[in-house]
Amino acid sequence: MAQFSARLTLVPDAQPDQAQLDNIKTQLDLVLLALEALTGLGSEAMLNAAAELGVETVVGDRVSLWRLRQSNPLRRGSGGRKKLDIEEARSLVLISCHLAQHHQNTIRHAVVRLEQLTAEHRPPHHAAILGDYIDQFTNTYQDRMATDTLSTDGLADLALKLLVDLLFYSGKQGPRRLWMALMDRAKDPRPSPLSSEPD
Amino acid sequence: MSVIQKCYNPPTCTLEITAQTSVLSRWMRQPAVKTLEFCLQFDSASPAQQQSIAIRGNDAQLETLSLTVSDYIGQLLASSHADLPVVNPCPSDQPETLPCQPHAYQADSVESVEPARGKVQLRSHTLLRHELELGSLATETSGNRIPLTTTQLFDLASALDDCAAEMVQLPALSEPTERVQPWLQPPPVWVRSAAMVVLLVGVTTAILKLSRPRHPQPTSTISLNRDQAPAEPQRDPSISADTNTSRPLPASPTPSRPVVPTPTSTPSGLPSQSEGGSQPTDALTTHPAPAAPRAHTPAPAVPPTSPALGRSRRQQPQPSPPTPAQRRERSENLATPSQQNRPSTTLEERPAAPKPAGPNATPPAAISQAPSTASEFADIEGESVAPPTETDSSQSQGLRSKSQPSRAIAPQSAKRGPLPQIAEVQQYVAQRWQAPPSLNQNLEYRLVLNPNGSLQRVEPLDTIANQYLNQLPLPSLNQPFVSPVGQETHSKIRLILGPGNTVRTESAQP
Repeated sequence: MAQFSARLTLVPDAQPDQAQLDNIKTQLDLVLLALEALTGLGSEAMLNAAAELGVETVVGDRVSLWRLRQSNPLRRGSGGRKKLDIEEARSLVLISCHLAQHHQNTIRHAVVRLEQLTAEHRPPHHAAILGDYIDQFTNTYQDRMATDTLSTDGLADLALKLLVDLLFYSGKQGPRRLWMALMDRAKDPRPSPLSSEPD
Repeated sequence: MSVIQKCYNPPTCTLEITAQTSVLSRWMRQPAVKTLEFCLQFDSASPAQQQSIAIRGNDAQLETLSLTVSDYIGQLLASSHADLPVVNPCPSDQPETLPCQPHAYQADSVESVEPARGKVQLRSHTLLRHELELGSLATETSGNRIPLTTTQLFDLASALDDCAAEMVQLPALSEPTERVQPWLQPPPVWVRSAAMVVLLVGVTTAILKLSRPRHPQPTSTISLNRDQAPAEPQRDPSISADTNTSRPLPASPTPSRPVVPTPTSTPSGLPSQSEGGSQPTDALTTHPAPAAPRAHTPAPAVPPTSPALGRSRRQQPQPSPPTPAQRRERSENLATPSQQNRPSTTLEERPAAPKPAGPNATPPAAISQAPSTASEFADIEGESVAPPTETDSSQSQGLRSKSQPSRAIAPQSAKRGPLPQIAEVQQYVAQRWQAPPSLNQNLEYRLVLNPNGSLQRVEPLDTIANQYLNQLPLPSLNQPFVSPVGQETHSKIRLILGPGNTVRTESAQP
């Protein structure tokens, strides 16, 4: 149990390299994108969360938040220009999980509806919350990301995968889980599924 | 120590914890628990599952389950959306026969905890369908596998996380044998046997050391040997040389001496009180060889080069305890040709005794006091005694004080000889006893005398003697009879009257 408790810490084990950071920046941006698509929250809620978490020095205004999210190499325009250090990644992790915890009921409801529809062998968009979410996520993704390699179904699967992830990030151990997932993704050298997905 | 019960109740499962809180909880922010038992109940997630499933286990199994779930969720979150589709293309009702094998995650510690009863592990079929393989937690009602939805998995993880966050489980020290620390295991048999042997030797040594000072010590040798104990190794060669020149030095002194108390006490070099006190010379000559290895040997008092010592050693086998006259005679015999006309030569030679004892022996100044002390002692005793190696006047004082009781013992031992009253009784009765003509056998009586010599009572020792009791020519009880006996409270004399006016008396002391 002590070993288990030790794993709750959010302290990173090692400094990730640039490729890993790129993957981390993409994943963090997509998690926030899924939250935006599901709950309709905007940058104002993110800045408020940053203030509540005490990371306003890192994410203090819209510009800094925008710059951080623009660090996603998949973004259009200046994507990848901004370097993301560990403290900034940590701040985004805390903000994402904080918002997910605030909207846990919404997330849970969406996941339950997804399970029900899947059990009934029905498509997800038969549930309004899921249909709206998938549509919003797809539109936002296509607006912001430069790469257009994902199909609509692929974006729907990505949206649903992020939805399930958000459920686990909304828990008390959400920040640790998100951080560990980022580390695991960074360690995996495989190309991003977003870019490898065929049309 | 108290028992706490915790219940974590997410929407789709219930985790109940029963554990004993440790006293260490006082110093911890979270309650420290041990001997934990849990009951995990999965509520029916779908209308198809009408019956809830419950599993039970201990602390180790709970930890294993927590690790398994945590690792599985980590793997799930790290996976790509392409790795786990939302909808499985294979038939969902037959996960075991799927051509696409489900991903399985298990905790590494499962094997070490429950190696024989299976593993607790989680498998995923799709993004939304998971399967918990219970392994050692399986029961008849639960079956070996429990299908879990994502929300059930999330609730299970939340319950386990809450439990882990609220209490600290102390490590179980007596769970599986592999996990028991070596120093907690009982010691092997050979360790216990060795410990017993060491204990036995230690106790025996302690008993011997404690019992040694209680042995009666020769009055003149105790202090001597304390002072000159370091000189013993150097004294031994001289003794052996002496032995070579003046044969025979018995290894075990005086086995033929009737005064020797016991054969076992004699080799130890511990003479009796009477020997040490009344026969100092004997103490010197009798015990050198056996006493040499002992700390309280009287040997230092013996000048190794002294011819008197050799002669005295030759006189070791004493047939009987010497009387004062014999002691005087022996003292004269001790005088060698070089020491003629010096009755106390042995005493005056004694100061030289410590010299060969070694450089660590008593200082010469102290030794020089010995002659006067010795001669003084000899004057008191009027015989050749052996305190001369006393190096301190205070020690000689102690010597004299110690020798007093030994001198007092001598008359006491004389008392144990024939009582003069025996002869008096014999004389008294013989003058008055007229044996009846019919008497044809001995009459035996036991006369008990008062300390003042009067007759206390007469005890016939057989029936015939009882018949002639009234004819005994004895005075009345408590009337003057014989001379006072002395300190003896009640002296007993056996009186035997024979047919021919024969009268015999003997001591009837026990």
